[in-house]
Amino acid sequence: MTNPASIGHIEVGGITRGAFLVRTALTAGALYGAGAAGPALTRALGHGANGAFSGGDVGIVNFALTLEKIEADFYKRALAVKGLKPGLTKLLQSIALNETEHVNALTQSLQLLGAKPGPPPKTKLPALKTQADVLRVAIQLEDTGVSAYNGAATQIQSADLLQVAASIAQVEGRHAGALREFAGQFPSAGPFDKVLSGAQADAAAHRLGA
Amino acid sequence: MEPAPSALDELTADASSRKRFLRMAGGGAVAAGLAAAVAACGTQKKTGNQFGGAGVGTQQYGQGDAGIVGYALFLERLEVAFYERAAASGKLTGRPLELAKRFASDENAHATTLAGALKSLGGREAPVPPFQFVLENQADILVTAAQVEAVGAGAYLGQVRRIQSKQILAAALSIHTVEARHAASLAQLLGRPIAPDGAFANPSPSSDVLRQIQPFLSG
Repeated sequence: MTNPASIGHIEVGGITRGAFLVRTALTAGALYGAGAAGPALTRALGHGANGAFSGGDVGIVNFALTLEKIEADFYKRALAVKGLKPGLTKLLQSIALNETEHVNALTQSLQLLGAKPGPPPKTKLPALKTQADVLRVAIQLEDTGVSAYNGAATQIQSADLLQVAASIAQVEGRHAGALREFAGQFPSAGPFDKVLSGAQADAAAHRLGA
Repeated sequence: MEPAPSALDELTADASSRKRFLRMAGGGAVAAGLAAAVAACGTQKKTGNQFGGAGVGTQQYGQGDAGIVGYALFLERLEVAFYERAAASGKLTGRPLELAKRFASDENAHATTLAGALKSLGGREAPVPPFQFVLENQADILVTAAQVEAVGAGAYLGQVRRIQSKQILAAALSIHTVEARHAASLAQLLGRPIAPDGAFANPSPSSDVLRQIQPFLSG
């Protein structure tokens, strides 16, 4: 499961580099985090009506974790589909590895904050029977991830956590671009990626099953 | 899909549309108005950075957000020049040619938006140098394209924490992930790792970026 060529796997004090980045962010923003861990946190854990980005940075981390779990779950199922071209299998495996790292890092960061991840999302993805199904849903998921992270990043208060969210957004964008290239599409729908509001991100996540 | 989405449309517009943007983007406590929002962001974001040199290079393009936008615009001008010349070089065919044309168009749209933003911030665009690219064969052009996109994606990621205005931040994020998509599309075409930094992409300070583009600046 580790890719020695990737510095993303360098461990820092027993946790992955990704979790370390997030932990650093949360520690650096400790004053803010403490303030957010009150009633706002409770609301965020409930994914309240105020949209995916309510509840401060902790709420946003939890929302991101939900999205990443949906993605990780999808790739597990996608890789079980028969008849995928070897090139696609390889691509899906490399993406799945990244998503698992995102899940681990975000989970650890919530634990370090003393917050609990929400219940595992029940994904509502369409049935995956063919390579075309897999590609279509993968592209939808990654495009959604990009625009949700972009939106989340505009609402994050901690500069360090903003850096982490943008860093993950870039990787989601890379996934989307590579999948679209495999599918023979242009890597983006246009010159600008969407930047979702909290309500839009909430709606997008609910469509996927959060 | 419509090419220009929500946040970007608001960028170059007037104050009332900026307020609309803030509401749309869930501006929360700061939705009261642009001035309040910018002031609030200013107190929340650190102006310093832990990435040595992140801001050193942008100061030559202006102060604060104007400097960052001017810097990004310069990089977009470089990308536009590269893709336009690559597409016109006669060396590209098939998918690489298709991508070069498309990317030229994307980068042009970025430049137009950033130029508008720079103007609204009261900044002035730096002179665009002639730029120099080696465009001898398709394989080398693709490798250079991948390099240019990697530099671009890292450059935007290196600035996000320094941006004070929420509108400029939204624009930078929106462009940043499109550069990432370009980079991965090229990586996939070249058979290279699509996320070379792993699950978390690395930001590039402007001092590194300006050094990396040095070969393209004719002198």
